[in-house]
Amino acid sequence: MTKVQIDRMQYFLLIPNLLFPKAIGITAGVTARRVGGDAWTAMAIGFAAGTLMLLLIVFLSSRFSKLTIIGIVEQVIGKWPGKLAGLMLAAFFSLGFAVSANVMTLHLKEYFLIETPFLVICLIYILLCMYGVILGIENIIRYALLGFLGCLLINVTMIFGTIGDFEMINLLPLFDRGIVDNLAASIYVFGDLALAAMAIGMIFPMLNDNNKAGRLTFWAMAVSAVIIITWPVLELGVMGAGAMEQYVVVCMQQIRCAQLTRFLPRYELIMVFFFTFSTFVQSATLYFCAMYSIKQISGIKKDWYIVVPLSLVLVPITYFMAKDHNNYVNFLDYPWAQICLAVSLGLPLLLFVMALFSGKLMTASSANNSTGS
Amino acid sequence: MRKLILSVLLITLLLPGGCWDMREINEIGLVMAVGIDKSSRDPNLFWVTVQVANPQGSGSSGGGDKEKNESQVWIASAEGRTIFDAIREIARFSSQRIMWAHNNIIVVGESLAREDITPVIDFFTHNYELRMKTWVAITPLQASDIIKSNAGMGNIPGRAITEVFRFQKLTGLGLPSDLLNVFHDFSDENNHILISRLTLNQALTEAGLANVSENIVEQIEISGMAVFHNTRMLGYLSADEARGLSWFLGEEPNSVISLPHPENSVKAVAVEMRSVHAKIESRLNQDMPEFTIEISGTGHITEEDISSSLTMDEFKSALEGLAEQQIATEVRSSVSKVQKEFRSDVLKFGSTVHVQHKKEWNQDLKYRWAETFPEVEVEVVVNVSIDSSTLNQIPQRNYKERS
Repeated sequence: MTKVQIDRMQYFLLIPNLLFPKAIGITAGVTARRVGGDAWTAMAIGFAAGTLMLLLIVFLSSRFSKLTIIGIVEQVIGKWPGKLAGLMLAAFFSLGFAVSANVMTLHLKEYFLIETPFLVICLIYILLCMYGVILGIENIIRYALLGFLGCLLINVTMIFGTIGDFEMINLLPLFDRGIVDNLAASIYVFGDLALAAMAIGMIFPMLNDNNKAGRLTFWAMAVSAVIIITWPVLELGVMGAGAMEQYVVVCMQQIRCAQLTRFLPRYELIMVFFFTFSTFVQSATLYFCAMYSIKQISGIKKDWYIVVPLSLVLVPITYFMAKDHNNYVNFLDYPWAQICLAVSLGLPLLLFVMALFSGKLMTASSANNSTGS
Repeated sequence: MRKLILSVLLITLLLPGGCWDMREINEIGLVMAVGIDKSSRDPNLFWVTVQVANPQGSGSSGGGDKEKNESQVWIASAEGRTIFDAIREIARFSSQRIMWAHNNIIVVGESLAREDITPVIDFFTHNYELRMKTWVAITPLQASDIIKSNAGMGNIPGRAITEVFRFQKLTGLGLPSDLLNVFHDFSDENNHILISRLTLNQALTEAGLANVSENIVEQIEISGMAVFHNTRMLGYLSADEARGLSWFLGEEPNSVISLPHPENSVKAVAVEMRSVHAKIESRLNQDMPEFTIEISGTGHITEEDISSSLTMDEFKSALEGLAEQQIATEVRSSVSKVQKEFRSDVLKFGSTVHVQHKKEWNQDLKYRWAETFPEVEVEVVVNVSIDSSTLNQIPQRNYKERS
């Protein structure tokens, strides 16, 4: 396992890629349906809370630096709870993969490949991600640089294309629905944050140098928050909450409103081109994490033996999850956001408390120190 | 070897994915403009007229055999229970597949707008091909008349209308309406819709001077705005009234105002207004909102129809006062018409109170806004600074008259 190594820059760039694709359009739409014009403040609150949660996972992972989150459960709670956590995380990552894959499939199905059977789009995308997993997580994460640059380019072009129609009044008054509603709606961001947090829990041991990993994670989250919150801010400012609530893929609707000068009046395809790399990194990383969870609990050595059956399971999950896009969005609304909140907050907190009271947190820390010295 | 086989399989799988949605360019009919009316045969049906670009047509400016001249646009109409139905009906006799991606304008007939504009907004915002920056207009005529007219310069009227909209900012006579801002106001809980009014006007071509009767052509013009309440059109604002609103609702309107000359009110001075900014402030007076519209801008003297003996400072100062007075009068007149006659908040006053007095709005005002809006007091404050006399250092002089 520890033969695979990723460097600090790759780790830094991976975090925005794990958050960006779904958050900018689908999550923003789900949040707007709950709190209207407060969608951006609710998402900002979600990011603040999510950063703390991610830092807790990084803290735990740093203490048990050679273990994935499944390994930490085994060490802190016991072998069988570890197996159970691994099984639960395999299911979580598989569903997370389907959620992420459908961000891409819905963009394609609703705006470009209207007549192509949805199953074909799902199949091709899953095969592509499967290919990435077979090549290995290092290769997937190498795309994080392209993905991150793509995210920046989409943001820049979107801002230039829509700023002329931006109306500040659409974002005001702040906290119109009240702080409580904003807090309640912020859980929808956990649908993205939980995927990133759990994936970090699996990938962290591969980090070649975890010195000051907390600081690195904090800045990666800060950058992610800025490039992601830009979207609900611009979406609300340009379309308004009423129009934003209407759509499944709000970011594509925003791009439909954008006009980059008279000579480039539409650029949905360019947007999807920029967007593809980060979506691929997100989906393939989650696919890898699902495979790796199964590998850890089953002890199977050959990735192929897991990847092929897993793909056969992921095809129907992905297909049926978004065959009717309303069901997909309803699923994200409930129970996906609630599951994500429970997993991403519950598991690290439980591990932290149990490790603290059992004294394993300190033991692991001193073991690390002695290994380090 | 295994990787190579897998790569080849993946690539071949990726390629046929696009086949289902393949559309050859020569099989596509690009819609340039669309008009939606109620059917004259059955008011429950929609009458849809499309103007489709015909690249084979040589048009009047094209070379070649004039006898074989073919129009550069193809016009077709059909009716249906829904707009989509009517469009599919057109497909029965269209030799090319209709594509909306390059549509320039949606024209809606007044009779349909007065009944309910929801189907139009819904169809076009639902359609993934259409851009949200497509222009939208209401016409007192049949929308099909506008689509069929051969107006504007250029071979494709749909494109010409786009240019008319684009240059509307120069006149400042209204607010150009596109699908994005119409849909924004349609779906907003406080705002109501304003849409540009498009009509046909008779104009004389230069060649027509020789033979007037044969050379009068119909020109499309934007003339005023249609005011809606919720989904129904209530009536029109004239071009001048629309300008009254554009002073504070428009994006830096660039309008020319004609002012009476300070020394001879029969003669005029043209002042071009630039960098116009406005803000709306609200305050509550015993639960009743009151508004102040503050407008500021810079004026540029561009034409003086009579020479004068004033110094430049005196001239500018007099014009500043006159410009402020005129703009304030235009704004008051338009606001009053919207408040008293249409009683529809197209002025974004509701949104302003919502933002500036959130608590009072959410607790009380939003529930009685429909009755409150027509009664609110509106104060207009205009501040014009004439910064430039455009090339001239002193006002126009006539030394012969002086001597």
